Amino acid sequence: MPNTYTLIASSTAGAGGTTAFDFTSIPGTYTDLLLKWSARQDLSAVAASDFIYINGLQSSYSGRWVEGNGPTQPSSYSYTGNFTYANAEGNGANTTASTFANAEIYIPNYTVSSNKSMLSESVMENVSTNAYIVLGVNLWSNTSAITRVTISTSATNVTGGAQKFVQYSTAYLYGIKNS
Amino acid sequence: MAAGSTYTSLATVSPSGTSSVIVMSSIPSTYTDLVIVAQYLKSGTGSSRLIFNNDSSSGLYSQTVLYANGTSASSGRDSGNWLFLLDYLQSSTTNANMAIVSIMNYSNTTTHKTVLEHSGVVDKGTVASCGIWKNTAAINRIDIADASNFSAGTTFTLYGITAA
Repeated sequence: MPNTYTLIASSTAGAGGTTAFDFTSIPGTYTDLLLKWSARQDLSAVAASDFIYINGLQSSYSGRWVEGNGPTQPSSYSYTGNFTYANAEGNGANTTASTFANAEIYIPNYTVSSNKSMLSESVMENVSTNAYIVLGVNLWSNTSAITRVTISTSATNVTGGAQKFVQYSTAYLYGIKNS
Repeated sequence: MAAGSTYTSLATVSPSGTSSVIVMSSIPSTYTDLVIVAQYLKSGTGSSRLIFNNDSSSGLYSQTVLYANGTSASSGRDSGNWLFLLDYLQSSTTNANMAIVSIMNYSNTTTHKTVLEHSGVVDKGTVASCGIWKNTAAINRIDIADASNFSAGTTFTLYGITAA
């Protein structure tokens, strides 16, 4: 039985930060994709969302998620729009220094000609208040094979806008084979 | 994780629409943990059932569930003859349901078997649960059963994870 869990690509933000982690030319030789990242944004806020775009497109995304922050009852939200919310509550600049949110999104059957379902999980810690855990399900209503996945700081621009992932933010893309 | 170090595909089942039960049997005991990745389409609603070693009558299963439908979040608990996927929310017949199930230390014969599950489907919501099968037997068979048939396009894959 072959081993099946392979690192396709990785990226780490340098000293100037980066507006997006952009994985392009993803080969179609795996069954599933798993994207993991540890990131912090320079946005002046506690929570800073990370936005996922597939194949560079900005349409046909939807999802629902649950989030908990410790002191209050869990909340649930839904969305439809131009991106996937895989980490709705990441670490912004107003959280404890040197603290990075961790997130992952699992994309099964990414080459199959059907809409793409995804599961996502993320956690954000903050020593003072407002730490979050988020679990979600996402859908990209497009039957194209996935060849590009982008983690962006922008809700309107695939490769990011004014905000940046700070230095030492990292992202890893794995391919998983089922045979 | 280094390329190809510890994550091995053990079985993939892709039903064609005429089966309501997926069976993954003769699971070797040579791994540390098991992971099931499921993307499944169904002809009916209802939550699919997860059964170990063909034990669907002992009442030794229990499960605590956090579920959310996009508007509100709640928690529930079940005890009975199996664990559920997408418990409380039930499955979709229009979109692909998805679940990732982790089964820790499945082959030891001294502890009860614990399970973590994250499942979801976009028109229903998302579920996180922890479950237990209060049996010390090594798991060598997993059934995923439903009241309706699994449709074409469904895939259940079982992975073995080695800790060393």
